[in-house]
Amino acid sequence: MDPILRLKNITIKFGALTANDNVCLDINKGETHAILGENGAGKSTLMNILYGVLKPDSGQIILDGQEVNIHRPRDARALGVGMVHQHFMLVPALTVVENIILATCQTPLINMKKTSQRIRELSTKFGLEVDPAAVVKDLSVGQQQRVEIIKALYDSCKILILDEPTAVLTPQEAKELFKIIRQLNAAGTSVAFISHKMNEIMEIADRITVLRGGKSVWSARKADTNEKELARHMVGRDIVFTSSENGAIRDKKILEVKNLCVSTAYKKNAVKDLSFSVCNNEIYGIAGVDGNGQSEMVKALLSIIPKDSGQVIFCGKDITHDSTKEIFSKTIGHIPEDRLNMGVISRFFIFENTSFYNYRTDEFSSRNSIDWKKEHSYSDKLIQKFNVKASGGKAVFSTLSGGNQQKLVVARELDKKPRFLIAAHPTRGVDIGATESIRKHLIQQRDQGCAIILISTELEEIMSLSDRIGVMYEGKMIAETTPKEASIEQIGLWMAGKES
Amino acid sequence: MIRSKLIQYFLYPFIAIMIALLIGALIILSGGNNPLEAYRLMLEGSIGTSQTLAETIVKTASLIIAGASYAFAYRCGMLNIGIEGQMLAGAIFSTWIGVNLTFLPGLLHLFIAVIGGILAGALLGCFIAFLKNRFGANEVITTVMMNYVMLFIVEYLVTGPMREAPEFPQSARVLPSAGFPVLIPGTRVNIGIVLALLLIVLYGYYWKNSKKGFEMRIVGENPTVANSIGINVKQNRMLAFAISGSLGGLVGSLEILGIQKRLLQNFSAGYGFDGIAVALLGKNSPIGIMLSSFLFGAMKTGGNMVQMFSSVPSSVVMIIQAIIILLMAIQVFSKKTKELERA
Ligand SMILES: Nc1ncnc2c1ncn2[C@@H]1O[C@H](COP(=O)(O)OP(=O)(O)OP(=O)(O)O)[C@@H](O)[C@H]1O
Ligand SMILES: [Mg+2]
Repeated sequence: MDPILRLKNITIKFGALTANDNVCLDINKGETHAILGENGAGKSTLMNILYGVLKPDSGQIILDGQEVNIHRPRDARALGVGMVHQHFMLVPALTVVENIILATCQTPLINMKKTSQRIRELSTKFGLEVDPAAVVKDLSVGQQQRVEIIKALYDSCKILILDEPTAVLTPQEAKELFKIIRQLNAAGTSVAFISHKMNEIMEIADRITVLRGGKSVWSARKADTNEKELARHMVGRDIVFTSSENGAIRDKKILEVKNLCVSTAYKKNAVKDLSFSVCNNEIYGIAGVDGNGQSEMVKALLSIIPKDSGQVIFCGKDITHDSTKEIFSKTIGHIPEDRLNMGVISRFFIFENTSFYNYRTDEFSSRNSIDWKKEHSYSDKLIQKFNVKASGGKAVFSTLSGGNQQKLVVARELDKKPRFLIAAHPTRGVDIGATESIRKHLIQQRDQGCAIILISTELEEIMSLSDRIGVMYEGKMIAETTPKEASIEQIGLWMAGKES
Repeated sequence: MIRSKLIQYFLYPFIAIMIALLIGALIILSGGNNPLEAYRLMLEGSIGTSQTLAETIVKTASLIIAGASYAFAYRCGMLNIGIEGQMLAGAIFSTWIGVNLTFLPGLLHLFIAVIGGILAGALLGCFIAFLKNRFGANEVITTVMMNYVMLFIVEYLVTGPMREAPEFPQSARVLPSAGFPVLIPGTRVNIGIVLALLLIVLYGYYWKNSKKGFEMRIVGENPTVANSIGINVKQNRMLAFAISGSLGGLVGSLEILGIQKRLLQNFSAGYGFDGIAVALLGKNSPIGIMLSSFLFGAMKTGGNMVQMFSSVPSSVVMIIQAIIILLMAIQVFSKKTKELERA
């Protein structure tokens, strides 16, 4: 059988960098084809070419045996290619129907009723539960992603591209997504699936292609390979995850949170009477299903949103009422859960983004003006030190690949040498090699005395890095344990709210 | 990189200007006039003689400051449509000080009169920012409303409390001690142009190098990010609008103390709105604002000449300006959408 899609010798250059170098890829009808590769290997670029966002310098796209020209996403959609981007592209203030009309409607007049109907039709067909009338900003990440998928499927789609769909999902939501993918496959839709998580790829893929340095280096059926082999093809070496353990004496409470209560406009009592503390040389892992008050807690700790009541003590000093600026001046680091909305300006240069916390310091400025030369060389240093794939500090941040954006944010926060660090999903979207090195850095930081709060939806990450673990459920810390004492199953139960 | 910048900053505006002139020519032609002749008159009437060039420079000065005013708020993520109102506020204060504080000696009188105008504009700007910070009021709406309010206040003042003689709706003349010193004798070119150039240099430095300017840019790009990294969004907005407003007020002072010498009902030449156009055409860059101010200043003076010496109405100039703005605005739009897709 001929493949439904054949990408032949696709090449694209950005200045001196060849992001795709003679890439070839075949996708069969009804299969899930995983595309694997390090951060910056060119996966998103290749998918953007297929979807018409980027134009290749050379190469062919052959769909159903015919060469096609795709100039813009609209052409791709007309040919039955749909895409869910690495970063969501929904308008938060609009409803689900409005968002879908915005993306798909070609006629001058809109038809809400018909669109809603079609949404419901797709919902029931593929088990994509969403309320068409809901406003997007009130939806969870998993729900937003379903909206994106419906958007992509809206004009009957033959090939669905999912660019790192699971990076922002909880394991439960990922399971749901896999069900949807299987149903799509059964209905004859092919899926191009990008992920850095080996276990997911081994679970969902039928075939796998590995990109390295912009070239397609290897392809196989899943049945003929294993996780180890995949990792080796991807990075060119074996990956070993260090696990935690250290014997330092933890005698100082670096951070103490007492009876914290937080409400937001959308959610009353998002954090309820929360108390915990973190000591020096300690990684305190917070496990919990996303949306149980973790992000509200972090924002309230940093005074990004107001606290209803409670107390926050940092190194013996009450910082409950300090401003965000004052808090950050105390060498506190923050790897935010949502980098694009909390940590960086993607339209700025890299060197501007890496200056966010130091442009006020004497080292990088004199009286009123910032020493941009110094900032520039500082960003080059970070890029080098943390192995970020970038042409240099003078590149615009948004031209970095998703994983490299994350690496840069992590680099910026770790390089502050913080005494206290909040790390929310620090390895989100980064490849296994970089995950390994970020984890190493976190442990190194801890061993130098730093107190770290680690928030992650991946239990495996929490278990292997934490010295102590707290489980958050509905805004409360319902259990506290250590990785040695508790099993993954037990923590899973706590996360579901079952106290025992 | 450098090439794309060149294209962005010079080629597009140039094309926009050319297309606008072409359409303008067609309109002149359809009115039964010779467009080449009209444009020749316009050129002669704006930079052809030292007298007309002087007039152009006078207008350029006000336009530069008005353009900087709009661009300043814009870079902090806000739209100041109220420069016209801030200008009127500045004009009122400068006139009052210029007329009434007769005991002040020479330059001090001028200085206080200018400061008064600047403060009036700043105050109005702060008020707008306060409404935005406190109640989330959209600044476009509040500034447009304030323009009307100020217009009526001026009307009230010149027909009532500040009226000099009962027969004319105008204030008394400001004292010579409060006038802007003339730079080139025999023309109306005063030190306003020096001030404007100084300010635009400062403007460039502020946004390129200063800490505060960097903070404001972050607020302008994404207030949520600014808030999350410890930048006080409300404070920055307040400051940005205060500065934007004070520049608006300064245009008013300059107009009264440098040109009109008294408050009139319709003394404004629309610099408040031209400032928006100038900033747009100049892409908020200091050099861009300077060049486009000169262009718009020349068109303003040239337009008068065309009206005087041919049967082409000066409103043709307004049409040309409007087309330039339209073309530039469309371009800004198309660039944004492209970036969205790219993200
Ligand atoms: N518009 C652009 N200008 C310059 N360089 C770019 C641009 N877009 C992508 N690149 C570069 O191309 C390379 C490939 O990027 P791409 O986004 O395809 O990586 P990726 O494989 O999706 O990585 P990740 O796993 O981190 O998402 C990167 O080095 C990136 O910096
Ligand atoms: Mg990518």
